[in-house]
Amino acid sequence: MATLTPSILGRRCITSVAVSIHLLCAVGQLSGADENDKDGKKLPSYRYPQMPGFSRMPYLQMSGPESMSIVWRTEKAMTPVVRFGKDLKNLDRKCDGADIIVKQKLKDLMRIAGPPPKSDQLPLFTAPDGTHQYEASLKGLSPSTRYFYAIFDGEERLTPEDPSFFLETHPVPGTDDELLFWVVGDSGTGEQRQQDVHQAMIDYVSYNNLDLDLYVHVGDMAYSSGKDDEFQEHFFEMYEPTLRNTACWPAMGNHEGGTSKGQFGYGPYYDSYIVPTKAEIGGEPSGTEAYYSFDYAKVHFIVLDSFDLDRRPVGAMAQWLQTDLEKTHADWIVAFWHHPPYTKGSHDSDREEDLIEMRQYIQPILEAGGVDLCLTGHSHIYERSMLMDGAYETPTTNEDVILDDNDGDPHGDGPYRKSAGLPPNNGHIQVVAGHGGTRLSRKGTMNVMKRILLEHGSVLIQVSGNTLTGTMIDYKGYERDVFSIVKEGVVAPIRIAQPWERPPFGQPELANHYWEGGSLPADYEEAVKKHSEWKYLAGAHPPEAWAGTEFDDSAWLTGAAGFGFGDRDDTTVLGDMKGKYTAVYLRKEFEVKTAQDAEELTLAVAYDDGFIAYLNGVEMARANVTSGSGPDAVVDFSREAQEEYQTFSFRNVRDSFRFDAPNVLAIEAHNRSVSSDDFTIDPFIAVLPPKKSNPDKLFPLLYEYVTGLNEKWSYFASKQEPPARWMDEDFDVSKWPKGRIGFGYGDGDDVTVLKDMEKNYTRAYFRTEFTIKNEDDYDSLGLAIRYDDAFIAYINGKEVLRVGIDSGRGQNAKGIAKHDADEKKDKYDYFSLAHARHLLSSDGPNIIAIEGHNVDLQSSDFTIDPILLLNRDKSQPMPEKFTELIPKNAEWRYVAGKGAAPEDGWEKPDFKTSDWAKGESGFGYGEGADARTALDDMKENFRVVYMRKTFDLDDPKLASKIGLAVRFDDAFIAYLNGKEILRRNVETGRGEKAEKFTGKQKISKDFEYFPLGSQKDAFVDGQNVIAIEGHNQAVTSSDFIIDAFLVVKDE
Amino acid sequence: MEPVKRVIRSLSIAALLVATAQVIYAHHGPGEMIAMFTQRMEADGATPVLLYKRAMEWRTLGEMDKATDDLRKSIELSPKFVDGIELLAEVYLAQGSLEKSQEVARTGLQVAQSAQESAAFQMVLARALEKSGKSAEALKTCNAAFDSFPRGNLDWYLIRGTLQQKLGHHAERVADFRRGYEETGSIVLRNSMVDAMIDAGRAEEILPVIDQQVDACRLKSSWLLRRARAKISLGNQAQAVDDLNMAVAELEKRIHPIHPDVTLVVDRGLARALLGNEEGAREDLERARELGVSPSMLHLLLQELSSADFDRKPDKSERS
Repeated sequence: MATLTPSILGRRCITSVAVSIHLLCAVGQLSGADENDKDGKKLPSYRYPQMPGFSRMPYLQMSGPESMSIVWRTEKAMTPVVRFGKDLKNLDRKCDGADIIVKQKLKDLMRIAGPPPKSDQLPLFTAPDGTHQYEASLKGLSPSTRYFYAIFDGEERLTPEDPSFFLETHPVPGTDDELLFWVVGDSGTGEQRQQDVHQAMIDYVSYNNLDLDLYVHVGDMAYSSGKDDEFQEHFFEMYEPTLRNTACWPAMGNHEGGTSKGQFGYGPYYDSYIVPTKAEIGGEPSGTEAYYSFDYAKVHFIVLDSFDLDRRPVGAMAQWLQTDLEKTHADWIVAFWHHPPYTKGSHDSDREEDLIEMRQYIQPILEAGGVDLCLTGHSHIYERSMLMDGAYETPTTNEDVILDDNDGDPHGDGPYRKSAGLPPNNGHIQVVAGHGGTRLSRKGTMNVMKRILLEHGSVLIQVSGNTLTGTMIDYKGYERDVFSIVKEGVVAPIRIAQPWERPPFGQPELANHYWEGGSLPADYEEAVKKHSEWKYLAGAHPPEAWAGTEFDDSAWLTGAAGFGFGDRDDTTVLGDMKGKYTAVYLRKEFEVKTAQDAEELTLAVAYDDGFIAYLNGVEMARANVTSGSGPDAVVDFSREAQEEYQTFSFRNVRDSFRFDAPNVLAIEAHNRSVSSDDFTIDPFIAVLPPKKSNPDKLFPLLYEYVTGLNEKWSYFASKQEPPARWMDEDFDVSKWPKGRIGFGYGDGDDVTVLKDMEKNYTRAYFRTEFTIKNEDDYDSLGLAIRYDDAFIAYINGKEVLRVGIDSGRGQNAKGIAKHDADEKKDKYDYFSLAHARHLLSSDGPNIIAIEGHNVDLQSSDFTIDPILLLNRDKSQPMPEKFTELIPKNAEWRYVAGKGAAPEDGWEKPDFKTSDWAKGESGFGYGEGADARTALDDMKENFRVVYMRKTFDLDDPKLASKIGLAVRFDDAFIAYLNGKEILRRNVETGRGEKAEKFTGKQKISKDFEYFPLGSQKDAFVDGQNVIAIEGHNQAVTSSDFIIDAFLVVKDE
Repeated sequence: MEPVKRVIRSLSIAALLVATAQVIYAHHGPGEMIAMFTQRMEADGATPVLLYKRAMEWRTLGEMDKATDDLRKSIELSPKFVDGIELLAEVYLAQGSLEKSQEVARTGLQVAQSAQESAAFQMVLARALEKSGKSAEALKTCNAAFDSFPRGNLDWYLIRGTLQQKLGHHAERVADFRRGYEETGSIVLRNSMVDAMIDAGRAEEILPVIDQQVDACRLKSSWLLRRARAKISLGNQAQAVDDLNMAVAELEKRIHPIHPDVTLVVDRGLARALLGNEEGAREDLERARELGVSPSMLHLLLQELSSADFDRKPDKSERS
């Protein structure tokens, strides 16, 4: 179970060697200078030595909710015993005897006669003479539980009493537990860079207080041909500290395929791993270790063999895949294998048959089954797609297959959005993670990819509730790419005809820097002015640490940006550069007061040909410098400086800002060639206006925003108190600072950080204006808020809500209760403000004011994060006077019957319903239903009824006064001219796929009334169509009613 | 002793591969690999393994003629190079050179050093025979492969089952899939056994299993289709209609508007055929063919369309 505080989105990067050293001491010890391997050869410093008694250290396999396998090897026979328990000091349980399978090297097979042995009795295929492999199967474990373990030879303990020897069982499938897993591909070189990638992951996970739950390897873990000794040295000895407590789930790569055969399941690869063949950890039984599936909480994993099996739909693997997808009820599907269907890294998926077949044969099955994420390797590069679906053509085209061409970064364009559940063809992300250690290369630009990075690294995937987040960590520990998928509500896929596209490979592009550059908006300000003076060094390389804050640059020259020659636009001309040197170094000090201020900064640069930028010594951006730095920098392409500046975010170095001392922005700029005709480096720091967020992203279906998600509120946060009537409409807040919601400190998720609040004061005050255009909306106004610890809310000067405070206001507030805001940023408490309708005005601005209270000065955190919403889920009393637009008990077209769901698009105006039945509303059965059209066959047979009715609207002005009156049991969704306008008691999905029913309704004779004023733009002059689907929660329900009519409220 | 021989041979190949280890280690796509292998051979002379490895890269690039050239040369240099012979038989099969594939597979049978290798050649031979229209001989060869190496593998079971279905050997098909399922636990063999039992007229026996799967599955269309077929075979045509309509409704939602999964198109075609919607079924048949469907996947659909007396079909009420 992952521990997710602070969030993986904390964007920490590792800059401290001390962290690495500390971790190694805790979990394992790399080889020392004098370590030798078992053959007496000097062990490289980046490999982990085996402990005495082991020829292969213990590692976990087949992790499940109630079982786990521990595997190890020795050079000679032993009496294997595993002792384990929940207390490190009290290993009170034992696994031995028949629960431990012993496998021996193949030469002992010569003694075996008769029919071939069962797979679990197979000997080792290849291994050093005398090798014994022990596979202990621990059973009867508790889910989501950590056990410590030790390996014994009889009574002799072989592993030390060390807390890193532990196993943690999976949660019960279907539970809400979070998951963090590590994805690595093409790593098995046994060289330093492979270990760097591993260590970067360990450091990152530790620094962010995370727990790794699983390890996924997408193949090529033992170069060059997957032999036993290569597995030992390039996999087990490289990842030992991780493998002892984290099960690795493998997919076979082509290099393992050099010695292992998927068709028959033998070879060193199959010797090394134990994976499910009988659906032991969920999924459907594959009957082979070549492909398999397993569950972790709400995630279903599918693993395929893309190397040496039939990939066609007639093949056993594809047929198993179909069956497995049919069966799973998980919330997420993650599939992984070796050969990428989309790549232009070291391999080309438009030319190579095995890659093409995975795309043409396997992808359609996965996508029709609802896959969310596909992970592969093989191509030695990191490539990550946009949200995509249905790209099976060769060559790959991106037209009409991209469903969202933004970056998917929750801190950038926002996460990708999918419908809840596993709807078919709703989009997925492809990640090629072939950058785990071996040499990298790139052939071109795959047009479905959003990120292409030629850097070593790995990927961490976090699944938490309705959000999946992937983070690429490079070998230095930097976050290089972040993407999220949020599954919520119903998201209809929109195929983009001409999606965003990278420049063709070989042409200059903003490649290889951490966050894609963009253009400056028109309304930016300047924090470090254009053409301001910088320290610079030209014609020489500086010493190490030149980019840090402690470096003394007093001997450097001073000049105004931009620097360069040859294109007549330079302020400081470097007249001696051509023919003599290619690099220029710049430094500039600047101040930032708060984290909030830092969030809005961006580096703007015009450059020719490339540069690397550092904030306080930490690399923050890199453009057109493909590798190296300083004298070793490699610039692949010539690039002309554009008239427009390109922007580079400080996001990945936000933790490196200093607020109590000057910051240093350092830039090394490079020309590709000493003979180049021009050069430009022209930086400044811009302040960008806050990015508008899409309000649908948090409350997609049932709510509508009144105040924005990222809106700035005025606030008063100080040891002092504001004037008594600070909440009144006419109070002047022009001198109050403004900050974006949410406010707070201490829990790492605050947007506007109240830095000095802790131990200084317990209260802060917030207010903003809002408008409501339609009086009908007064009754559906509500406050969604994350708060810690308590608050009082006012509208137009009157108190309307008090939570966690017994009495008093401001400094006189008493009886404050402790309350923690939900760790998840999207978890708000919702409070209706319908009772305050008499305070609201639709004529002008209204004021919402909130005072937030901490329980005491010692509190470690504080949060006030409010949003005003209109709740579209709530009904109102019927208006006193109204005119019926669609009369009560009018005749509607309807579909009701077992298996009789209408085709997609039935709610749209041009849908033909001539073959639908006609009946008077309402439709239903059971006691009290009072149905005009009785559905006597509905019970036990079907649970959804679809109804449609056309009506004319001659006076468009009436649209704002129209409302829908409905009697329903249990739920319904209503559409106006094809657009969903209302849903009640059902959170997600439509038709037969609707799910998450939120409340059982009792049949009533009274209609509930839903004003549609806010949907007035959905009405059209002339003929309109209203469509309603009525839902029973269960087919066995004793009653059902859906009954509706449409009215115009009379003044 | 058979597996030992296999291992010894594999180890000897592995030893040969050591020479190319550094090349493989820097594996950078077929084009570069081919260039490197070519350079090695130009410098040091061709070896069976280098030719074999280069042929694999040619095959990856779809350059089948170049692959066969290299493989033939490889086998000339080492006539008992089993991996090379097996790959050549496969490449010929993929090219549609069925006679050559059979000839090479038979050569392989002469040099095979283990039961597993013999069985593998027999299966290539069986597939070539099947493509040549010699189903009975192909089935006989399949059975011989299983006799040689009873464990087989999952794809072999499916190949044999397809031949048995085509030849109407339903009882054997049921028995073989049952045996395979019991030995491997593979759900694919279990499903194939269910299909075989319906074809064998044992629908009543298997109906409880099908009902259970309809209830348990998130995506039900394939099991609704099986249940409909079972009910039709039991004479309950009216009951089959609901299942078929539900299957079609689910498939409509899952079939990609532009690039559908061919297996779903075939399923819908079969459901439509069983519902008496010949036009719709033929549309799906054509679409499946456009998508490059394997002929063996069309067996039931074609059978239904060719034997169709659409006036006797259970219902024509499928909503279009």
